[in-house]
Amino acid sequence: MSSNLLKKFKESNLSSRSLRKDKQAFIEIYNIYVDDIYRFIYFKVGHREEAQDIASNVFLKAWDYIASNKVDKSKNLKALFYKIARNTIVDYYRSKRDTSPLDSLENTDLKDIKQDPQALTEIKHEYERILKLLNNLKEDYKEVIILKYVNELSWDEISQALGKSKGSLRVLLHRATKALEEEDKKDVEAREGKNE
Amino acid sequence: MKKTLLSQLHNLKDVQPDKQWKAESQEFLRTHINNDVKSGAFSKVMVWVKDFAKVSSQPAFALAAFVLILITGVAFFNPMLSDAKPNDSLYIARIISEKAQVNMTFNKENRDRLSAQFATNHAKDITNLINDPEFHSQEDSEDKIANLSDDFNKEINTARESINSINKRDNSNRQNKDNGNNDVNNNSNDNSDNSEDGDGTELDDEGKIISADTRKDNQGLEINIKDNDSGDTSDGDIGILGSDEEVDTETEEEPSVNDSQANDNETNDSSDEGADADLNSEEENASSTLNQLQSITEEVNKEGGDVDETNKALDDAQRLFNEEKYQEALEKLNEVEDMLEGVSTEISEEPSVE
Repeated sequence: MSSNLLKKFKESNLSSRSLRKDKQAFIEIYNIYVDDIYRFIYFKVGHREEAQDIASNVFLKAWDYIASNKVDKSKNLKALFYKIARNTIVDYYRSKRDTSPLDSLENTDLKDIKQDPQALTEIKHEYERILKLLNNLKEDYKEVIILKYVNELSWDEISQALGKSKGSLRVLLHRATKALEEEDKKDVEAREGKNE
Repeated sequence: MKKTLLSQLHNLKDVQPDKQWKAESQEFLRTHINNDVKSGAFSKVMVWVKDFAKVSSQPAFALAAFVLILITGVAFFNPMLSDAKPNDSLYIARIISEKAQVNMTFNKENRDRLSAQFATNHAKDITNLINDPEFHSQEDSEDKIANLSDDFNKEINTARESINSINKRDNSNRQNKDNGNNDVNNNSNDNSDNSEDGDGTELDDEGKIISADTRKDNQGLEINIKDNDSGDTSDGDIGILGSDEEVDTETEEEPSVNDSQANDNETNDSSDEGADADLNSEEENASSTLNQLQSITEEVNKEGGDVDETNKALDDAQRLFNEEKYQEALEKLNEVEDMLEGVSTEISEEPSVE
């Protein structure tokens, strides 16, 4: 609990220092947020290399924005990263019309992968299934689910990142989870049908 | 939402970029940030420019900036522009600068003087230009001369109007002063009956205390009337004390005079010849004082004469210019300039006199 509070305080301090154009603080904040931003991009783009390129660009663009503008100190830096990430992904889709199929998770690093080959296969299979369910959802449903349940952003952060009110976000998330459950149900039924 | 589904979503947190890419990306970001010094400085300047643009849209700031630019412009560019000739491209800028200078002069007399000086300078410049043989060698010189002649006449009229307005203002000021003095005199005359106090002293025209046995003649000279019966002085002679200045001296030195009168009483049988000699010297003093007063009056009247002379010189200059005697017209304009400089010296000295 106390470590969580300490972490939040450190994050907040680094964030406000970064907004005041502190280079060292910005590097530290990169280390804190890079995983989340990469994950968000990866789930949206579906390609490891491209997700890495976009994630790098997001931090460069964020620094350029902070350095060349009078940024409001009360602004949430985390939300700013997500906002830039979304815009960069949009630019990426515009420039690259032909979308290749999603990379397999075999190419993606997974934290704390157990050494047991059978367990590893099960876990990878589970990840691929849930990713498949997410990819069957509408883009805004997928986005709000990743932000809320995977990256665990607060309502304020999601609201600032997506530029929507909290009320409309709650409604959106409710519909998104319903849709995900429907997809899960369909998937289970399909697998049971296959087994039978 | 189902717990299994939720936990599966949470498990997606394990998806992470590879460590090597993270390190490389971090290094790339650090390099970018550190190399951003120059562009950072540039961006800072841009931020300042943007802020300035935002603030400058406010009316008060815009007005202040305009006034500052105007003052700076007048201060820095006036010496450069003063050499511009009527056929120069900077001549219009010079005229604008001079107009701004005139409009920023709040003293009306100084403003008229400046206006007259500038107009005379313009007329001189036009004359100089037309007098230049090279100017006549140009193709469209005749048209230019016609235009410059019109400008010359306009400038002369401007100078004349400014000089006349200075003159009018001087006259009205003088009249106001005279009226003020007359009022004071009338008041003092009205009070003269009451001014005599119990000691037998009375106030003169300027409110100075005159002893009971002195009067002023029609030239403002104080006459010491000495009564035979009083026994103060011998034979009831009339003693002329001199001008007002001398009256002051005499009034201040009254005790000593009384002492001398006391001494006179002691030598009551002093000779009439000595008294006649005194009378002659006093008369000489009076005549010299009269001369001084006349010279002061002449000086006062001369101011009006100067204005007439200036106007006459302007008329002559205009006539000579129209007769194409440019060199002579130039000399006349130089005279006008000298006279205006004299007026400006008087104006500048006026407050210290007051």
